[in-house]
Amino acid sequence: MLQSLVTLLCRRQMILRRIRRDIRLNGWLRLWLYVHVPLSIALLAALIVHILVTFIYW
Amino acid sequence: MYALLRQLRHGPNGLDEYADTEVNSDSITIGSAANRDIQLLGRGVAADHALIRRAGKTLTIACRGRARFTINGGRAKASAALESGDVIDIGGNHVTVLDPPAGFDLALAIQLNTDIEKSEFESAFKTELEQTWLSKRRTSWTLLLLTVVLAFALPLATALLHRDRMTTSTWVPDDTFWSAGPLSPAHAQAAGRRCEACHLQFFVHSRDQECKKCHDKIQDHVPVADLRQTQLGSPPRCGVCHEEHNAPGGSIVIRSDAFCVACHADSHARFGTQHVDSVSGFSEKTHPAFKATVLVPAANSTGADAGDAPHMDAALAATIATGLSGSALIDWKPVRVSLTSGQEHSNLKYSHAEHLDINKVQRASDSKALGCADCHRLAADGEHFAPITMANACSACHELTFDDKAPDRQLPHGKPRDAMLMIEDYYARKFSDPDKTSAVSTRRRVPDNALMDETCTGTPFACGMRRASLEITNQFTRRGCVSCHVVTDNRAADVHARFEVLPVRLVRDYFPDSHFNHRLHAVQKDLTGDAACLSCHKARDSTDSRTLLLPSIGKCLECHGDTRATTNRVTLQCVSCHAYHSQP
Repeated sequence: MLQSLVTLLCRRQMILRRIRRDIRLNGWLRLWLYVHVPLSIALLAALIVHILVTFIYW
Repeated sequence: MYALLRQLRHGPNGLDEYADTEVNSDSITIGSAANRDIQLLGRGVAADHALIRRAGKTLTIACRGRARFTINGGRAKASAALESGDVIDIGGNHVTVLDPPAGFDLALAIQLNTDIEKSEFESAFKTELEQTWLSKRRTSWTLLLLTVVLAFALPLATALLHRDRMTTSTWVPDDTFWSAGPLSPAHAQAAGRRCEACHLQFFVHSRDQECKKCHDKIQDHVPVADLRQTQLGSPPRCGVCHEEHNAPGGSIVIRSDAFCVACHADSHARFGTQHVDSVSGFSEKTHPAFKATVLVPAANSTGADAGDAPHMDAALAATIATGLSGSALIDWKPVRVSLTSGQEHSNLKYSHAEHLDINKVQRASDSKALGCADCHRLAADGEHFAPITMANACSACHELTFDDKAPDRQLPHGKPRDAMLMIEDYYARKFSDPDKTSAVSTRRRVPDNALMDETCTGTPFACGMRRASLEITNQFTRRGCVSCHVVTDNRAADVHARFEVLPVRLVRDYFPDSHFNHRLHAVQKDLTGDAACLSCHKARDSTDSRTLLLPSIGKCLECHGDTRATTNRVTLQCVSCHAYHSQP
């Protein structure tokens, strides 16, 4: 009986750790998007400017 | 402002309970956020919903953004003045304005809406980044605009201003921001930060005109008149072979053989009336045999085409026959000749074999054998040699004395008439010297047996002139000048007009449109010094100065090959040896 309870608590602890870790990683990933998305947009603009400029001076 | 916030609620035993909170602030904030002075939950309650202020005796409430409230069951409002007893309804929550007790400026009774869903509790707190001030969209737009302005708009504006000869501050991003890479040092110094020095028009390749503003002396690869006789079309623009904005210190010349081979691989078909050998690589099969450019007197060079081998004797005969004797009258013309059948026409008699033979010639300073460098001194460019002159190459060994009894008297070199006059002066003085006998035995070396060992019985001056005439004839026909120079003899009675020394003209560059760095080839595998020179130039076997001592392509191929060559060969490209632009 006690062994089953300890096992159950351990499983609960393991699942909680996994959930917390997933939430933390998900948070980091969402935070990274605030860097990734604007930079990608800016780089896309830079790419278009670069293509245009290449033909201006070639 | 001291405010008393009294929260009312129904206790579990049916009795009303209240909890008081004292706030000392300039204003009372209302909203669902946890940091509001009055936190209200429910549908329609914003995180930062409204603000209650007191200005003097007037108490006002004002909403933030699109938030609204009602007072005493009236219409939804964004702001209103409050009086004691007013009941403010925000999302079912009631905030009643009370008369402030002593010591307080404001008193509010708060009755929360108990009929709210559980999700309203969650929405009252920020659990997502989107609920914060962070915004991907706003940041993206900002960066995009910054990129366009800084990387395109500003450089474009400055480029247009520079074209109108206006200057801009150095901190403003100009069109050099668009540079694909650093310029070569010379171009960087000439153009500086002015892109328009080469890129005059937008969306147009840099034109040759801009290059020729500085490089006005550059020669076309093929003269325009010759180009019209081919099927090659217009010549490529400079930028095809010269690529700027490369790595610093690098060459702007594109060294690919493809540019050359594109035209020269099938030159018979594309060069029309221009006779150019086909070449598609650097091997015995793909590259034609070398042809040297030698100088011949123009009287004989007329009609000589590339590959002809005009002979010295014929050249001299034509020169003499047409009376073109004398350096001022001979026009030297460069002619390309085969290495096997071509000959030099330098008018110099010289045997490399004798001069390199230690049994015949020793260096005056140390009695050792002559070496190549004793006469051939490499110029600063490492490719050509300093001109060989009597003074710097010959006079160390060859004196221009003419009388054994006057070893300190030498004839002037390069001035035949002065030499004749010096001989006459010398013998006139010698024969008229009263301290010596008037009858002088004049032993002559000329093969004129009738005059050998004769004794002059005339006046001293006549005897001197006669002796001088004999010596002049000797110098120009048997020894002296004629030893090294080609001398013409027209048999005139006047000895001054009889002989003419043909001018010496050594070829400075046998391959004027090609490169060869002698300094780099001074060491070849296990050969150095004269051995390296003589491995290509067979001077030890040359007894005639007319022989071309130039190696054939086979000698080069012992060490070199093109990109298709087998290993253990130093790769050569077309531009390694050939110059595209002709020498001016």
